[in-house]
Amino acid sequence: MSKKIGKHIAIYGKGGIGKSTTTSNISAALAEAGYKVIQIGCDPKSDSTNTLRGNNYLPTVLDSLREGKKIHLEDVSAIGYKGVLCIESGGPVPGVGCAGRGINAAVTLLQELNLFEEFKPDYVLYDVLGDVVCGGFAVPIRDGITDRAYVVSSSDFMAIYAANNLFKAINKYAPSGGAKLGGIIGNGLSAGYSKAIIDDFAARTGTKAVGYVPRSLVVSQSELYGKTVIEAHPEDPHAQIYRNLAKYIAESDDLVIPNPIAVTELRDWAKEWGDKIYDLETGVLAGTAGI
Amino acid sequence: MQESIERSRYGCNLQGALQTLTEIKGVVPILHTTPGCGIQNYLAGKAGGGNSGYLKGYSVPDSNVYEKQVIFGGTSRLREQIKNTVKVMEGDLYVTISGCEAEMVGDDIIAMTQEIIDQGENAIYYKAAGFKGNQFNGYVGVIDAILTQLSKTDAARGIEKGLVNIFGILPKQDIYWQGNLKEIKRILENIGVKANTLFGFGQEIGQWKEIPKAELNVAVSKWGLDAVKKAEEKFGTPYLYFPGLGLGEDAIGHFLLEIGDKLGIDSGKTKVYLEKEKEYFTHALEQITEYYYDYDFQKTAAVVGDESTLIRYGTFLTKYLGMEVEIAIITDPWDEEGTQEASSLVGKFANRVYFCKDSSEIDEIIENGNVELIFGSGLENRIAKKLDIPNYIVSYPAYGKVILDRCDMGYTGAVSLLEELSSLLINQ
Repeated sequence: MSKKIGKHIAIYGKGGIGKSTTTSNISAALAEAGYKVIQIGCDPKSDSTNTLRGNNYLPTVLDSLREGKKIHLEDVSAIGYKGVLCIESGGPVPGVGCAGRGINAAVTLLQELNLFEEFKPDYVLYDVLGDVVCGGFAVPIRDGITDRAYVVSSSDFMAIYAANNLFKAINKYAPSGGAKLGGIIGNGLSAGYSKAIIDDFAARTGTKAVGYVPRSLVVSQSELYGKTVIEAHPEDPHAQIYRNLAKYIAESDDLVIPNPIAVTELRDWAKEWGDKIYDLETGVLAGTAGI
Repeated sequence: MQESIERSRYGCNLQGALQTLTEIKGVVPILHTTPGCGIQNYLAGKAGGGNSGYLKGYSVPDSNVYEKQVIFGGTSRLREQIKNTVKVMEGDLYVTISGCEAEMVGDDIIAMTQEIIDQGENAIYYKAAGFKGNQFNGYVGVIDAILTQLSKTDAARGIEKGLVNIFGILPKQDIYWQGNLKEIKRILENIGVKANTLFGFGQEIGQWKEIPKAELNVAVSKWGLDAVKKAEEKFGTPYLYFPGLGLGEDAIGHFLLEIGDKLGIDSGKTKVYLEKEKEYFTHALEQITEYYYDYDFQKTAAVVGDESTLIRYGTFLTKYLGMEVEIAIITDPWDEEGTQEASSLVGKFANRVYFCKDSSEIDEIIENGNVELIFGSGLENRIAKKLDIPNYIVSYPAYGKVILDRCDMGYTGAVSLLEELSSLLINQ
C-alpha cells in the first residue's frame, strides 16, 4: 500500500449503540476545527453519514458496483457539513449475499479510485458495524487500512461483549500490522454506575475510556432534524463533549493492543456487576469501584 | 498447525458429485459456482481413466458467479442460468449444484430448484461446498440427494424378483469402473440376478427410478454403504456389504453364494457356474506358467490406492501369484473407526499397512520398502522410474491411460490382470 494520506481511524461498536452519531459528530467537530475529513460508513444499513448531509439520498459504493457501470468518486460521495466527504459502502439486502465481502470490495474500490490522493484528507473515519462477525468486518483494522480503532460502547453487557470481540480481532491482527486500539468511547450513559462499569472493563482489558457521552435529548432531536449536534446545537454542552472527543482523537497517539477477556470470565465479571448494581438499588452500601 | 499435502490425489466434493452425475444419461447438472469448477472436474476426469461422461467437459452449465454475486447473493444469476439451461439442454433430470462461494453466502438453491420443479421439470439439488469433503464424499452425497429427492414423487412401486442395485463403484475414481460394473452385471446374470448398475452405458434416470423395486442392494466398497443403508431406511430393501469385491474364484465365489443365499437362489446352480468360471481361470493361469517361472513373478510388491482396490489386488497377488505384499498404502479418506477395520482387512495380506495421502511421503515409504514392483496410481510413476521398477496402474489418477472396457474385478478382471502383468514383467 502506498504512503497513507491522513490519519485513518476505525470506529466500531454494537449495532444501535450510537457509533454513527458519535462518528458523525466527531467528523463535524474536526471539520469545524478546519480539517479535511472523509467519513466512510461501513455498514449495509448505509446510514452512517445521514446527519452530516441532511438525510439526502446518496448512492452507495456497492449500489454502483451492482449496476456494473464505471464508477466515479463523485457518483458515490457527497459533500456534507463543513466539507466532510461522505461515503457509504452499502451492502446486500438483509439475508442474502455476503456483507463482509461487500465491505472488503468497497474499501478496495475506494483505494483504486484514488480517493485519498484526490481528496487529501487530514482524517478518514470508518464507521464499522461493530459485531466483528466475520473476516470482512475486520477489513478496516487489518491490511494496514487504518492504524487505530475506537470502540463505542454503553454499559450494557451486550455492547461490552461486542467491544470485547473487537479487542479479540485487534489482538489477533495488530501484531502483523493491523490497527491498535485508541480507546473506548462511553456512549448513552444514564445510570450512575455506567461510567464505573466502562472504566472497570477498560482496566481489565488494559485499555482506557477516552470520553463519556451521557444520554441526551439534544442528540435525539438533532438526529430528527437530520443534523449533528455540532451543527444543530453548537452551543449545547453536548457539542463541547464531542469537540473534546474529536480533539483527543485528533491529537492522541496513545495506542494499545488490548487484552480481551475470555468468554466465561466476561460472564463472571458481568455477574459481579449485576450483584453490585442490585446492592446499590436495594440500598446496600459498599465501597464498590467508582459508584 | 495443519500439514500440507504434496501432490494430492483427490478433488473436492463438487468434483465427486459431478463425475458421478455425468455418468447418468439424461442428467444435466447445473453448477452454481465461480468459474473453473466444472473445468477442473473435466481435466481431473481425463487424468483418471481418460473418459468423459455423457455431458462432456465444457458443456456443463455453470452460473459462473463473480464478486458481484458473492456480495449481493447469486440466486437471480442462478435462476437465469437454470431458465436458459432448460431451454437449450434437454434433460430427464436437472441437478442444481452449489459450490463453495454459493454455500458460504447462503444462496437459496432449494428455492431456485423448486421453481423449475413447479414448471414441470424433474429437478433436484445438491449442496456441494468443495470444503465439505472430497470426491468420495461427493459420490456419497449426490447419491443420497437423488435417493432422498427423486423418490419423493417418482419412485417405482412393488418389488422385482432378482433385481439388485450395485453401489460403491465410483465412476472415474475407480479407473476400471465401466468394465467392473459390466463384469458384476455379467456374473450376476449367470446366476439369474439382474444387476442395476446405475452408471455408464445405457444407464439413465429410468434405472434410478427402479431402485426401490430391488430385492437386494449391494455395496461393493465402503463408499456404497451410506446408499444401501439409506435405501433400506426409505424402501425397506435389505443389503449386503463387500468391503472390496475381488478378483478370481475365491472372492467371487463368496460374493455370488452370499447374494444367492439372500435371494433364495439354489446354491447348486451357483456352484455349477462358479466351477465353469474357475476352469476358465485355471486354464488361463496355466498358460502363463512358463513365464511365471522364467521371469520370476514372485515379486515383493507395494500396493497404493483406495481401500477396496488394495483388498482386491492384495488378496489376488498373494493368493494366486505368490507375491509378497510388503507395503500397502491406503489413500482414500479414513476415520478412526474405519482405520482399524481397514488395517485388519488389508493386514491379512500386507506386511505393513500405511494410511497416507501425501505423494512425497508415499514415495519415501516405497523407496525405503525394498520392493520390486508397484501397484499404484500415475503419481507413483516418478518413484518407480527412480527405483527402476515397474508401476502397474491400479488406482486414480491413471495418467496417460484410456480405459473404456477393461476391468479389474471378477473373472474377466483376473484374466486381464494375468495378461497385462505378464506382459509388463516379461518386458521389463
